[in-house]
Amino acid sequence: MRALNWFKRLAASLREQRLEHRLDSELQFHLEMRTQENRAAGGTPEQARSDALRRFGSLTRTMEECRDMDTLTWIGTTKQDIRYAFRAIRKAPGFTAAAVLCLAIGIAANTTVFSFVNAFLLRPLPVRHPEQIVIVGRAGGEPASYAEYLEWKTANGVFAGMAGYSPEALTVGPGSEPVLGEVVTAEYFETFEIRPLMGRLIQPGEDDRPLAVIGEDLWRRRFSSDPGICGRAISINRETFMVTGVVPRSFPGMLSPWSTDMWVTATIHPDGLRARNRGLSITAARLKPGANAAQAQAAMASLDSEWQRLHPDPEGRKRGKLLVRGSAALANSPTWGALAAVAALLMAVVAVVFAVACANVAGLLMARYLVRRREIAIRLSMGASRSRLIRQFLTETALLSLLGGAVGTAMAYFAGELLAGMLPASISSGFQVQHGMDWRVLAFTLALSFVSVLLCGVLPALRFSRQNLAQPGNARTGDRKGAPGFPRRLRQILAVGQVALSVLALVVAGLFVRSVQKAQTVDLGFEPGRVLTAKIDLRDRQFPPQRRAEFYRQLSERIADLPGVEKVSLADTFPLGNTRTQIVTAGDLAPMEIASSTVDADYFETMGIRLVRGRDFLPQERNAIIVNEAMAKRFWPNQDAIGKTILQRRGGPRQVVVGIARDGKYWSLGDAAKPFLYRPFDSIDALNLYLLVRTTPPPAAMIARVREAIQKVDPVLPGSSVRTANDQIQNWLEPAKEGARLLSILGTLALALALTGVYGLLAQLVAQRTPEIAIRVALGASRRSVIGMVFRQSGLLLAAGVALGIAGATATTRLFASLISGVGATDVVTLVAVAAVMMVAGIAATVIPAYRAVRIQPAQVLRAE
Amino acid sequence: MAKSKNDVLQGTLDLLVLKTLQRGPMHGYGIASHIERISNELLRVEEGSLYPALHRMEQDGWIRAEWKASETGRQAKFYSITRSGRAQLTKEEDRWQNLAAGVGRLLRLA
Repeated sequence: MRALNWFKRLAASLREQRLEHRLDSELQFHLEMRTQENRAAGGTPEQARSDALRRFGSLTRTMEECRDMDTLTWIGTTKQDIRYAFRAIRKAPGFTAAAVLCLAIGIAANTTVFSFVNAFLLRPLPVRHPEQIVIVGRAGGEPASYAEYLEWKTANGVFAGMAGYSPEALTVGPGSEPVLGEVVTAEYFETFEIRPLMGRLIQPGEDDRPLAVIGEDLWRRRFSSDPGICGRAISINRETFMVTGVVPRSFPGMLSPWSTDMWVTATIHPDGLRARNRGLSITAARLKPGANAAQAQAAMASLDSEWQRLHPDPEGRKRGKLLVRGSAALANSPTWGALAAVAALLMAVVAVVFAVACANVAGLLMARYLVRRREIAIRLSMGASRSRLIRQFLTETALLSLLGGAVGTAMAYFAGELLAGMLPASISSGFQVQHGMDWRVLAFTLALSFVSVLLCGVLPALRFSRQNLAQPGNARTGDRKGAPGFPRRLRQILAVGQVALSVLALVVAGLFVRSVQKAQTVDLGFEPGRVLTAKIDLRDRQFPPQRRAEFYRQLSERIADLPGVEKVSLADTFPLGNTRTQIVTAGDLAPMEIASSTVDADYFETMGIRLVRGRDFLPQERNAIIVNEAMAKRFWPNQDAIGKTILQRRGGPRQVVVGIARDGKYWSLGDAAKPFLYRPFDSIDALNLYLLVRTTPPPAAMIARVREAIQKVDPVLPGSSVRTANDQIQNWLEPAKEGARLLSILGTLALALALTGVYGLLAQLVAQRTPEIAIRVALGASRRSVIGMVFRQSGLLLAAGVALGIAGATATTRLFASLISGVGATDVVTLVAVAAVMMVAGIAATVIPAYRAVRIQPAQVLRAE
Repeated sequence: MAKSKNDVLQGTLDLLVLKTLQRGPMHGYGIASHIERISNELLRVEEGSLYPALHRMEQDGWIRAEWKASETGRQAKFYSITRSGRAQLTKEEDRWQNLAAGVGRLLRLA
């Protein structure tokens, strides 16, 4: 209705000419009728006409009012406003540049962070009808085996299609960099309704054929857009695959925001889909129209309980509940919660940066309006209405905001590319991540630009459009001396707010930096400084168990013979990131899931894990375990755990506790002491194990030799994963470090913006008070008192801001206490450091204004007045 | 878009115009004379307010305008009431009845 109304008025304004004529005839008709009536009542034609005119009143005014009603007057005035705004902006290039830059920085920071949030958390899967796609998986996150997948697929009453996929590094041709691939089941492309760019895609029933589909980017990059690629044989991981088709760039794969370069069938692994040791990382399905995830889950649950009864886990482990979940981006992954918390924090911090930037622009605008005071006063006295003036101010601000938004978007794009390239390997896995610049991000940026108009434009516009503040009388002299308290108070409040907000941002950054620092020195429960690790993966070697045992024995011996090696050990885990668990029954407690590690007899010495009580495993010892202090305390409080027994499997042998090891970190550096148990190998023939080497010289110097030794035992095995334990830990810390770095950048940005604000205010203050200072100096005020005056101003401002910021920080940092470990949410060191940095930087920003104040020459100033 | 300061009067004019147009299409002059005639000259409609009001109501979609030959044979702008105008009329009538009742009670009791 309203829109229609506007449209009508718009149309009217374009038909102005005709309208004018019509309005005239309408009113003339009225006059004529009245004249006729008057004549009928008697009287001369002239008199009748003049009576009619008199009765009508002002014809012009009525026409004017009718016109106002008909035409959208603001079209005309808006055009005027915009033209005027352009002129005002061009007239003050310095001001414009500063304001646009401030806004652009604020908007760019927000847009960049949001584009990643969008990519990781918000963007739906890049397929048709993403809302129909659900993820089928177990509560614990363990991958589905191929056998399970095949079972699920046959019983799909609720699914229109099901597909499994796993990320896999694929090497195309010998000696080239690996690309990100997905090992997919044959139903993959059909389920996700992907159309090829050329050729055809892998189709149901082709699980056993060595087929590959390549992405458009890889096709252009590596195959020079070869039009004859389809049907050609290429080598992937040293196996021969036939390329069937090319997928367009619009489908970056199901691992989004990572972009997949290549899709291959399960034949990439020996035994293909029948391989017992392989699974599918993710199983996704498309719901039939009308079905929902809850129905699907119910249907799958009954299917699964039957399946589990028929196929119990060989090790007696309990499988997690089968869940069917929606698929919003990473929502299916357990990391979503953690990512969402980090994203929320980052968004909050960039919002602070944005607020500081807007306050800066508000300050700049006020300074600008102060300069233009005379013009404003004249316009007001010429009869411009206040609302018209406010509208015009806001038009100017909107123009600045849109410019800032445009520049900010460009900046965010490059910052996004830069950040995507810099993502630590633990997040990017070494493959390209697409940051999510799409319509959502652009809409967000546009919205932000409009918010910035409100944040920085409204206050100054209201303040400076007031008649009494810009009396014509003031206009002449008012360029310098403000009316009392004007607009200094407002700007002071703004500056204090800016300082406070940037203190808040800095405290957040500081807490993260401290938390990372603390993590570096955290006691891991073992001595990483002298340990080398290598991940040995025999899955692709197709060795029988005896051959594997032989391999491990040879490997241990050869490594142990190397000069500089003190001790060698094999274990199924490395302390951090350990996810293995055992169901344990012991003491009076109900069966409990305990994190565990399977190790050999040399493990504790190699890792430097001290045994608090008891002894080490003996070689080839069975049915013995070593527990950590936390577990001993949990199961046998106030008793000696040594000699106690636990049960791992119903009916299995009881395991005797032979030693108690000190607590360590098993999952992450922030761990509280958790129960943990070590058990000896039954036989050392697992498919993959960690080789741990304790060295006499610094372990880094031994990497090459250990790698060489591994190669000698088996030349085909990749030796590249030999790393020092410290490296491994650093890798683990990488996301936290990256977060701390990003937050530091944002905090510094906020600081810089706030300082600009403080500097601007002081500079203006000094400029405004030049005559006053000149008089003081003329009357004998010392330099010191002039400098003192300026510093007192800035000191008060900074102190107020810092106090407010610290108060705000102590009130809010608790909210993300879960993201930082090792430091309290109100860490005194951080608070003091931030306050000091802010004060010092703030005082530094005062130096130039103070210097200017001292340089004031009374004679010159007074003559100018 | 200057709004009249006296909302009651403004609203009353709308009410009178809409009520008049309920009888059928009419031009501005006709509306003014009709209101005066029916009210026994008690109500006098100022041309200076009538025409802006007509144009405003046209923009609001309450009335529709059409150029037709008048009773004297000259082309005149005839206004007629629309559906939303009728709805508005009901609202205005209610409002007026309430106001009149309220003022009446006040005059009797105060």
